[in-house]
Amino acid sequence: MNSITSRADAGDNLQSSLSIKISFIVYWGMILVGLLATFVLLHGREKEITDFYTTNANSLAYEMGEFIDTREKFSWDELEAKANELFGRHQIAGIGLVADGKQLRLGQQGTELVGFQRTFTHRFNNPKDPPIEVQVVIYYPSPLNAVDHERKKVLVVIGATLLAFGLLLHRVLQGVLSRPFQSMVRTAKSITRGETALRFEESRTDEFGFLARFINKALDFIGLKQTELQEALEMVRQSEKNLLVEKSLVEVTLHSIGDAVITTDGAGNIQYFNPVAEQLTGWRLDNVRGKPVRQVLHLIDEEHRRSVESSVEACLREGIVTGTVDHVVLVRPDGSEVEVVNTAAPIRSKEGGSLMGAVLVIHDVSRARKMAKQLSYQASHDDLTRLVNRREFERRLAKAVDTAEPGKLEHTLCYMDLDQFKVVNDTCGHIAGDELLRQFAAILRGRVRDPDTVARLGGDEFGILFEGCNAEVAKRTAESLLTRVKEFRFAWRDYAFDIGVSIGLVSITSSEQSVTDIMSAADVACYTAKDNGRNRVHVFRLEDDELKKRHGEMRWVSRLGKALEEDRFRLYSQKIASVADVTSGTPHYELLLRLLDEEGKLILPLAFIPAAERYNLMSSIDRWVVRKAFETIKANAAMASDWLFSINLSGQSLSDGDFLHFVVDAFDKTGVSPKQICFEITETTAMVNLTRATQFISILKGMGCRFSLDDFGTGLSSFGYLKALDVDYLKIDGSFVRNIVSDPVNRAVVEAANQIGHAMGMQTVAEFVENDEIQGALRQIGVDYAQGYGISKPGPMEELFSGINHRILKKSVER
Amino acid sequence: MTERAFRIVLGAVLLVALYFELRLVVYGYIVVLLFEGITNWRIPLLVSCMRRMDAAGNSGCVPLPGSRVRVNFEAERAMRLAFALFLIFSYVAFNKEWWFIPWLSGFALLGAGLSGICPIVISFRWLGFR
Repeated sequence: MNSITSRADAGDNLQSSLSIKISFIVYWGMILVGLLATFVLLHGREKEITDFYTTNANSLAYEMGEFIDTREKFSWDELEAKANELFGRHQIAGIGLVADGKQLRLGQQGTELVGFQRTFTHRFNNPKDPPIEVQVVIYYPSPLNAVDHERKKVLVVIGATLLAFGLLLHRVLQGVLSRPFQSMVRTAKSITRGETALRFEESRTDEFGFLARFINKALDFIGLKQTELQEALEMVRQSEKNLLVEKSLVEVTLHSIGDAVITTDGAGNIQYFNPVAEQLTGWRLDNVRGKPVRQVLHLIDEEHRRSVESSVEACLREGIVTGTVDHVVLVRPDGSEVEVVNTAAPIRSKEGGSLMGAVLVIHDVSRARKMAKQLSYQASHDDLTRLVNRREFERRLAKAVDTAEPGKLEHTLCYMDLDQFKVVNDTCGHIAGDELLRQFAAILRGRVRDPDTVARLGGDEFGILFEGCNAEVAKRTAESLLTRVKEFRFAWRDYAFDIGVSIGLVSITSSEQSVTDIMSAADVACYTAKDNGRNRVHVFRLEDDELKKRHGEMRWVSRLGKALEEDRFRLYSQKIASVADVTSGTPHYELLLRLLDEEGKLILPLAFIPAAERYNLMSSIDRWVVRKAFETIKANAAMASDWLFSINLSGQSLSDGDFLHFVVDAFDKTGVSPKQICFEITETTAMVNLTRATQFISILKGMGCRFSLDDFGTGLSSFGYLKALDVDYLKIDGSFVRNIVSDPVNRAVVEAANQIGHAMGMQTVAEFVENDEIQGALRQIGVDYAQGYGISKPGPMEELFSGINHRILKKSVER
Repeated sequence: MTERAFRIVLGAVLLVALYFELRLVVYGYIVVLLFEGITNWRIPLLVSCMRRMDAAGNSGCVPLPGSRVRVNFEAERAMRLAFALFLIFSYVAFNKEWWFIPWLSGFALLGAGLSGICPIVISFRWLGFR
């Protein structure tokens, strides 16, 4: 503002200055010229006056002389008259004559007059007449007065003239120079004050007009450029504003982002840290700005503790997005460490432009890695025993198998099964069972080397992978372990249990072996140890019969699965009749399972049930049996409404928590009366799953179902356990019944069983009643029911309802 | 009355007095100039005051560009004193030799009044007079 004002003042001064200068020059120029002219004029005029006086005096004297010469004789009067005439005709101050003693004076008199005296002698024609001397004095006013007068005249004339001329010139110059110039200055001042639309007067055709047009064009051009500049400036301001908004947004984003963000220049020197970066790295931005990233960020490999290059360096070198490998640790200035993942992306001036820097994003993965490790641990370990679980064990086993080489590197797999676990579990509950497993796991851990892997493979199954250890050494270790287990007594409240373990060992000598085969072989070895009397170590041999048997069972697994899918199981029924009168009483049938193989041949259950039990298919098969039986009974409800059907249940079904719900649902869906169903549970199954069996029996008996304890006598169960089972029928195992006639021991057993059953309020059923003799012996003993070929052979269940069965029944009765 | 108009009057009066050789008028003229110069009771100012006009705004002379006040004495007063001294010197004392000075002064004043540019005042202001 001050500069504008001062420029405006300068403009004022310029305007005044020019006007003053012009006027000054003109004025003083006029004065000087006037003075000079006046001096010149006055100087000439004074001389002219003097010359005029002289010339005039001479002229008067000459005229007077001529006048006298023309006179014949001298006459004073005529001379006086002539003097008067001359005085009157010439502008002279006075005239004086002196001749012939006479004197004449005409005009003014005084000392201020200047006289010019002329004397001449007149000679008359008559020589006798003496010449007369005439003296003429011509008086003029003083030349000083004349000069003074002239001065006045000259000064007034010249002064007035020059003054007028000067004014005229001043006016002209004003019109020609000052006014247009001042007009331009005024316009310029107005433009300077901000009236940018104002333009110089272009109407003049002189230089001012040219200058005005030129300046106007320049102003237009400047105005255009100014407009463009203003628009550009506005755009720049808008861009700046947008950039500020963007910057603010980016800064807020960067500040609020959960990852550390670091930007660098093209040389990898740090330019920016967001707060998370400061927190994560332990550095303040002020302390690291301009420093190379590699000096500030100390990244090391988690496993080998070696320095690793930050992503920024690779990014700047290669110009692409880069990231470090996993397991990188950032070491802070205070020495603390944090696990990170870092990624760097190049910053370019434009798409494909030059590299300006890089942005490094560091993500703290400590928690994620901790969780991953935890998850990994959980996924690979058993929660209860903290031992490696089956999956992890198999993974390590596969790894070990890959490294095995005959004659060079040998490993041994140890498969263990706790012998008394179920007893502890059923007697003292799951908590005790869990505690037993924990203590057993501790024993295992204490007996193996560090590189060996101890795992819990199933409920009470454990495994040890002895790496780099042959079967002999492993066997010694296993026997040592066995000894330790024998010494171990598991105490729980008032109970104390001797724990046994069956151990199977398999040597891994070649990478050609599969994990499945090895596990299967170990399983076989373990079962062999169990079958051989438990609490012992058995080393697997290829020639073992058990192996062949297991292989057969394994083939059955797929066949059974396929049969279930293709619904190739069949239900057969066999009558259970009263010993006293086989035709009397409510019809009672045991439902038996058959498998129709791929070629349509019937296969008895003994062929596939062991495989199904071993490979946990029994629950599925039992479900099929229940569903099929209920559907058939429902379909023939009119005929079989008061009939009783016995269905065998496996131990796996009793262990299956969902099976009970399945049965209840089946009753609901089909409408079959629970009173028509009797479930048969083997003695061994009931003993092993005593708790569940009791619960199962209790619930279904509540609904109206009946229960039968199958194969009684084979399990040699405690009578205490037997009391706990609320069953309706006691089925004496057929192995005792078959020889009852010839074998008094078997007869005694049957008698005992019969008495026990009756004593406990049960009805007894004898199996394998193949002839009338046996039937007669049973009648003598007092067994209630009989079942066997002597009573009725098994037949398809559907035939029960088609009348064929009646014929068969009739025939058998006749026989 | 402006200084410019007053200068016209001054110039005209002096020229008339010189032309008609009105010596008493010239003497009176010198007295007036001396009075104005010494007392600063200048006729234009007095007239302006009587008319309540801003004397400074009616100065007949534009200040010289770049002039700065160094002497606390009005240039108008100095001009009057200078002309009075010129006249005393050239008209009263040495008229025979410096007869043209009074005429020059008369024309100068008249020209200054007519043109609005007074070289004497400008010169004084250039010298630093107010």
